[in-house]
Amino acid sequence: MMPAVESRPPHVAGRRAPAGLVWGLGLLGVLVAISVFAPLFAGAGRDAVHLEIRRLGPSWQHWFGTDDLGRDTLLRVLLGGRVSLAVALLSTLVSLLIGTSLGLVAGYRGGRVDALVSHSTDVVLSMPMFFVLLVLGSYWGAGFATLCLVIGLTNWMPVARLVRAATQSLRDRAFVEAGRALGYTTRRILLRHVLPNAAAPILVAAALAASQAILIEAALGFLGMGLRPPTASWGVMLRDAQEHVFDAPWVALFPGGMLCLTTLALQAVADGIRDRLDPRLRHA
Amino acid sequence: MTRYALQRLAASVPLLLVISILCFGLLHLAPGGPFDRIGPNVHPEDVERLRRMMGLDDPLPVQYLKWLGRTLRGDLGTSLVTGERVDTMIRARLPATVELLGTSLVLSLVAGVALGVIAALHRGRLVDRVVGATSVLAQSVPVFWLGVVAIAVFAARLGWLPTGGRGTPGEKFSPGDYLLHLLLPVLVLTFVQIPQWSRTMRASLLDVLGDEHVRAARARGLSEARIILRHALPPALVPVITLLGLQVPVVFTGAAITETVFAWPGIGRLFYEGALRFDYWRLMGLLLVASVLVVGGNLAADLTNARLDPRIRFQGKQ
Amino acid sequence: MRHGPAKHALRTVVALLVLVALAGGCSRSKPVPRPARLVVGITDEPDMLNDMFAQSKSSRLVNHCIYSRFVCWDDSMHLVPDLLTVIPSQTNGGISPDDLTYTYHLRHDARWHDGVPLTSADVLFTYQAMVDTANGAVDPSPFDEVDHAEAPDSFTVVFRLKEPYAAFVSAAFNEEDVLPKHVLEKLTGAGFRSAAYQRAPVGSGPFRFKEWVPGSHIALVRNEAYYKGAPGLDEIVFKIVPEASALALQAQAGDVDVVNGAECSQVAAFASQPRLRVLRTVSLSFDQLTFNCSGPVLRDGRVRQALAALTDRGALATQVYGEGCATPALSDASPLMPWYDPAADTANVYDVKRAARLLEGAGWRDTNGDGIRDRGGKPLRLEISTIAGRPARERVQVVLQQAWRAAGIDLQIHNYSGPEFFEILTNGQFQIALFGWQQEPDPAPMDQVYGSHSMPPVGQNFARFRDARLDSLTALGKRQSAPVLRNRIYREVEGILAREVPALPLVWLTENDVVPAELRGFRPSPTSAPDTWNVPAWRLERSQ
Repeated sequence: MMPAVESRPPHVAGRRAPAGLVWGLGLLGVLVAISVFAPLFAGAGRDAVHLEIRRLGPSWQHWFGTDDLGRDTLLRVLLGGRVSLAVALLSTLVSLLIGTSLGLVAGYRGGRVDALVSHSTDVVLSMPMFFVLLVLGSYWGAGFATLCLVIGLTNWMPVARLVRAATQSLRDRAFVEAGRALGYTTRRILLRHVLPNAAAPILVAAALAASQAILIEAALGFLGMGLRPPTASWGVMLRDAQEHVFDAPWVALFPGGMLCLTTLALQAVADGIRDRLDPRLRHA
Repeated sequence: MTRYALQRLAASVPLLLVISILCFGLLHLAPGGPFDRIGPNVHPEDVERLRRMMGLDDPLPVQYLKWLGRTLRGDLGTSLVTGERVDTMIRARLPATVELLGTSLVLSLVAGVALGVIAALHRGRLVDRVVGATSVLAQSVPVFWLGVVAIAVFAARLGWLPTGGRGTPGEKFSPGDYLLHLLLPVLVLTFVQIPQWSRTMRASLLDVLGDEHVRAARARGLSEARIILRHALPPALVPVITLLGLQVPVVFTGAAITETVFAWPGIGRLFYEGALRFDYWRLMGLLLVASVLVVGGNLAADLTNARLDPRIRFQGKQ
Repeated sequence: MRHGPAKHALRTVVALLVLVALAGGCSRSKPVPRPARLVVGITDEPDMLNDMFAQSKSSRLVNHCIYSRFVCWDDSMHLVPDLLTVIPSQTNGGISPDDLTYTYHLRHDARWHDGVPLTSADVLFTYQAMVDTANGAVDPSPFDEVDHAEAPDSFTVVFRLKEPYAAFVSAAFNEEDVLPKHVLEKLTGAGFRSAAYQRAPVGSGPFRFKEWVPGSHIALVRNEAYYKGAPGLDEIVFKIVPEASALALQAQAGDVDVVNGAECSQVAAFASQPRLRVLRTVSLSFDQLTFNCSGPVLRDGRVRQALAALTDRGALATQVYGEGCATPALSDASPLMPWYDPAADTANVYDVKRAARLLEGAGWRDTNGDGIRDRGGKPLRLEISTIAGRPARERVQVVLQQAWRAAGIDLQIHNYSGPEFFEILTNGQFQIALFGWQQEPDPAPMDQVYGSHSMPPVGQNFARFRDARLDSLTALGKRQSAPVLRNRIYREVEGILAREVPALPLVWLTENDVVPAELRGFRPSPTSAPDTWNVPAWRLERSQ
């Protein structure tokens, strides 16, 4: 889902942060904060089952209504957000770790190493990923850790490509050559000099990978191959809510809405950083 | 050009082999098997007997080589679940997927490119912002969610459109009926696909508009329309076409979800059902078709781009 | 009815052109189905139209329309004859006094859809095809009980069993269809499974096969020459709609006439529509907790009894499964069954105080005041597992977790994918398993479920239950064909199960079928017989 981005050296960036970046980060911050602190709002036992108040519509007591066990939907959405965001975060870390290391090495070394990495990336990119995810999801089972790993392992290729391109452009810059002249190890050059200067494209890749991870998690959850209750991620909540499109539509509305908001924020952040890198593409 | 094409084609053969080995390993190393879920009424010795009959007790490399041998002879095997020939199954379902996804791909491409051009030409103005905001929105909506909402509103509530399927079952085929069934899924899929084209188009056109040759054309006093159509648009389409090559397979494999929501009898659904029941040969056949699509899509995009921009050929040779 | 690829490409182009034109206002042109056609919505596509190989439930729904069989369970759980003139019993001489020889008399007027008469040769052929391992039939039972079979004349078949098996009469050619010898003779063997016949069958039942458009629908048309008189409908279409919510939407919009097994949560919406009727059938499917009696905690019968007393099955039925979607299952014998024992039902009623006494008697007390009972320094922690993705069962887990926690039991939820779940059932790596069972009107399979010789992987004694008395009773019952004695035997078995609680039945599931108000004769059976068991009697009563 990701258009190829041409990375440019960071010094070209404009001074003012683009509006999208600001509100994207703000929204993301709010979403993360309420998810992290959700258990505090919850108090003891508010996630408890109350069979006598099943499937109530939104009201003052229950802003988002209640689900089919009488649990507060707002609270479930917040708790679900913890899971969805945690999946996004961890799987993105996996993607970043793989993608960045491969991209750095390939871009810096060039030659045969580059060819090998690029070809492997092509092979993995050429695998019909959603089919692969379906197989992994239905057979290997999706515990929390497995799910993060699976999504991370199928989502690192764009990161690798972006980092490789950024590294290539940095390879022959003066400060890197200076490092080489001083006899620094390759590792030191890559970690101390190249990596920090490639931070911006890596962040773009991370934000895009995270939004992708959230959508993948939701899609797998919808097909019944995501996380298993009682761990309720937004995707799993959406699937459970499918049963109630008629008699309790709000149960589906809110997790869906939160999901959209989160991917929206992540996209805005990615766009914002990209705009900063390349002011010519800026929207405003 | 031909040499470049042949080189690329030859390079894709080992690629397909590696992919098929990876897929095969992935499927067969998973716990469980096609006869495990028949139910508790079936004796283990019956399951063993069936596995032997289907050749599933051979060592994995042997099974793979047998599959490869069959496939090279043009035989994708028979389904473990329905006993049908896999190629017959795929042939029966592929047209439905091509119709749905092809139509929405073309529509979204046309609309996306147009919107991208408009946004780029009005950079920073209201139109640009509206297009930008809408695409971000469309990109963050899960397609299954939009599909269910669309069905609930347009089919169940308003009753304007059928809820799913590829035609009224039992009726004879009629173009009107068929189009009505196609309309809703196509609209939903088109909507969610527009942003990727419009965003790429916009970025790429802005990039090209800053280039030397466009500035030179302006300096020569050519009309703006001519500059855009003749000088800016063709090179600006290169990233869009690259993306198209990458996207075709993504869209096809993602079809499992759309086809589930709209009861569309295509290959995504076929794969999903096969995955639930460990139908190895069906899954391998579909994975192969999908991989060929991916590799072919990339190849086609590269070749088109090489035409549009001859420099690419030399880059590709490195 | 398949179109070539070229035609499809053309269609796509036409579609593209007209789509734009249509995008504005388009009204729904729904053709009025003048012929009596019924569109039945199903969520899973049949795999094959031959019960020898079919594994999906929907296959049987379709096969029952196409084929004939010996017997069938009706909606009041009586065995009714289909191809037979009379059901064999000891009184009518159909079953020999030694319970080993079964003599069947076929109707003389049954014909295959191609006009060829159906005879005993077809029955013998089907039997041989079932037991011949070269064909790869999925489940050859009950014919694995047969020593040999013969056909003394064109309309008589005799089966001689290896040893007495009382359930034979209700099992033989009930779930299995009689297949046409003249069509299949040359097809059997290794390639039988993949023969084109499996997807375009020739039957002898009330409807002929018309077409199967993969992923879309299967259409059947009326068999005018049906031996019990032509059926009331002209055409039945089984439409495949993969997602339950999408199927419900289709029924609301009128694109589907019948929803076979509607989701419970959708029933209210259907019931409010005057053109639809909802039929609720309390089926013999039930959800059950299976306790692993070989585990360290659950080995103790008192703990199992306590867990039973802590489970409010009435509340589960009405509030978790949903009002009218389930009824409490107090034992695994439905009150409709002849061996039902009312005493077994009252053995494990909801009683929190009794549960506390039982647990204390077993040594489980909360000594450290953390709210969880412990014994010898170990907390009372149990784990419940089910197949992930069934919302009702997942809700049961959450409710039990909360209810048992109040009694000092720490219940953990750990769910699995389908194959993993059957794996833990088989290897015993579980404590409490929640899953569904299908009770049959004949209790003979009971020894497969609780007999000590039926430990997995050989049998289905997933509870790892051992009881010598139950073993001897079920062995006796399996051979005993006299109904009175049989019922007495199985009543005692129910008593043992109620006392020892190797498993705790929770609820009988209600099957909700949505049908058009004008459909007559639709009488779903609570047994595993598909709803189409009496499809010849279905008809549409139109007001005009």
